[in-house]
Amino acid sequence: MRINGLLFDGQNSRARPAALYRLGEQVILEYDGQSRTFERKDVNVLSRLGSAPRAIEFPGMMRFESSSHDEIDQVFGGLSSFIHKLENNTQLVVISVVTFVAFCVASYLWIIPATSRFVVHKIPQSYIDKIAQKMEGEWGLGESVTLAAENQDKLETITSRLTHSFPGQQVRIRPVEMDGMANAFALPDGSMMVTQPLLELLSTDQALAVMMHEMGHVTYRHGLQAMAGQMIISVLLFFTVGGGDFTAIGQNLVGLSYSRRHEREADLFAAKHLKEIGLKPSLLADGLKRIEKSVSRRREGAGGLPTFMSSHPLTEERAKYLKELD
Amino acid sequence: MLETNTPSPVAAQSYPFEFRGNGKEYFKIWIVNVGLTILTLGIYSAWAKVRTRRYFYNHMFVNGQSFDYHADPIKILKGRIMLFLIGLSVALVNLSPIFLIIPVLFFLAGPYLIVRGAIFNFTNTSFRGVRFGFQRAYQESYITWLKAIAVTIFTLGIGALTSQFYWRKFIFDHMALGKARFKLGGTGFEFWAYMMKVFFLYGLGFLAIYLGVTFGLFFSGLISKEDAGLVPFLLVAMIYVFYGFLFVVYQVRTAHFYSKHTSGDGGLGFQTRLTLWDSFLMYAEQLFLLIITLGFAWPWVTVAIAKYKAEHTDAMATPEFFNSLEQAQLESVSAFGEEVASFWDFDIGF
Ligand SMILES: [Zn+2]
Repeated sequence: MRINGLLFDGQNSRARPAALYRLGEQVILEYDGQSRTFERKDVNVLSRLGSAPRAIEFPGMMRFESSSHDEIDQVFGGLSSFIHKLENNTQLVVISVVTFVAFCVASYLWIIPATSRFVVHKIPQSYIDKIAQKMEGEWGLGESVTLAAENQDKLETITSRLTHSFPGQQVRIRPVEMDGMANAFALPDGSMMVTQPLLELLSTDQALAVMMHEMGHVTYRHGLQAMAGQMIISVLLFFTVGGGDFTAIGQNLVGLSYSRRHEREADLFAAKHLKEIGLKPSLLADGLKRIEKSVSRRREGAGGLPTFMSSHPLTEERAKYLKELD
Repeated sequence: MLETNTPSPVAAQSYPFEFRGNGKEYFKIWIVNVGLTILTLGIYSAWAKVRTRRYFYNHMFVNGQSFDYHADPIKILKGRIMLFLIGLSVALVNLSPIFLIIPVLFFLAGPYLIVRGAIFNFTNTSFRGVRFGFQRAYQESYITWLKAIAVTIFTLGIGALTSQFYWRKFIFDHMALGKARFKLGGTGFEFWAYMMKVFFLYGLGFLAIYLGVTFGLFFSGLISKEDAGLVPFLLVAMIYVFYGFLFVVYQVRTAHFYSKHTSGDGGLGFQTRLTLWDSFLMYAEQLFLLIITLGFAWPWVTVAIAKYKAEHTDAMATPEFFNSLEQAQLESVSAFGEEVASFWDFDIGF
């Protein structure tokens, strides 16, 4: 059987009409009125790919191109197009789709959370301290602020009660300034930050509840888990879709969903430890509501973002499950 | 080298690029790639990468012929393993500060690795049986690197965009198709001014609209109402749409600037017919498709974007250009540089 196509001789880009056929272990190539013989083992038949013309490579960078796919398969056997057969086997494609969906679900539910949980407990403290220092610098947290006397008293009470609740742990709370907003958060190294407006706004018990929530982030190392998770996602995306213009969006949405999960975990952690010292979990809900109100009064805050775009669950939702734990 | 000095008797004509792939076909290739990659714990990803590139190159036609990609998957696998090991070795930094030398060396080797990556990529790409190529321009790579850093630091970040031009110019000026050379004209400042002009105008326009909407809502009393939960969402959504718009502006404007300033031996040039509004609608449509399918339209979207970009780009060349390309000496390098560059998202190519 003769296969017709074009030949590029590897010296220049001129396309020459050519034909090719096989005699046992020999491949004969005809072009420009001449006929050349090659050993089959020296001829590389590329696998079929979609509907593109197929290339057959000869020594000396000679390249024969033809769209006669079926003839090429007949002459050279099906081996070269094994992957192409996979791609056109409906069952295998369906199996691949199922594998992929299962892999995505498993990654989201178990692989990423479990791997990041495992990783964060292996990271040495010195490295964590370095990350925390860097974050403090980036967020412009600066020096500790001097608190008004009554706020200072509140903070000392909270610190001593937390130390009492978590005997083995070192409780470090630093008062800082953040655009005059009521806020509290935890850094990866286990230190916590609180602002003066928060201490002013909340009762001692409410502020304690909020700091318990932050203790939850510290205990579970949520900040580091999130970082590790992002890294794992980007590696997985690199291998499955190879990056691209839109992958960052998916990565962010998944990151936000983990963040909401972490908030819930920290809420439940706070609820449990509040109950241990005879306080109601709904104290946390009250504190959160007050903070949200004060923040949204200052600027049209993120309160109105739909859940999937937000890093925290809705405050109403959090209040609901915290009330149920009372 | 082709004769550039003698004016060719036949004027250059335009040859449109054409992408003949389709979403369904690519979907099957992609899903088998992904399935095998998962089943082989990532090892197949090297073969998947080659197959994906080959799919896109094989289906990209100009003047009746398509491109091809010849990289050896084993080399890519070796590159990936090495990158992975270096990633792991970062953990050693905690054992002793001596290991800090690894990331530092890696950083310093950046421009060297970019050249290696470019050589790997270009020598493995062919058109009409002729390989592309890239010069061992290590020195120029380091100079470009220093220029890119300097222009960012000394303008306090305002000129950072210029570094993009420097790298593109470095790539174009040192690449070749066979013995035919390319050249990117223009200056960094021209590029910067060309881009900043529209960024500035659209930025002002957006600011006006944003403030208008905010004040409009404020005076209509909507914003102060407790139940106006959608208002902040609307304002945030406006910012996202604007970011998306700037992304498209960037794509379209750079395409215009680069195609206007790119030339090559044999009267080669490029022309783009991308327009801002049409491109914006195209990207919006594809993004919408991705969102409603939870990302599973990925292969269709990738193909649609490639098709769209190809349909709006022409190569300008004389008819004899296509028959007169000559093969040049080939170089062989490892794939490590290419793997590093693609992990950094550094775009080596066209
Ligand atoms: Zn929290």
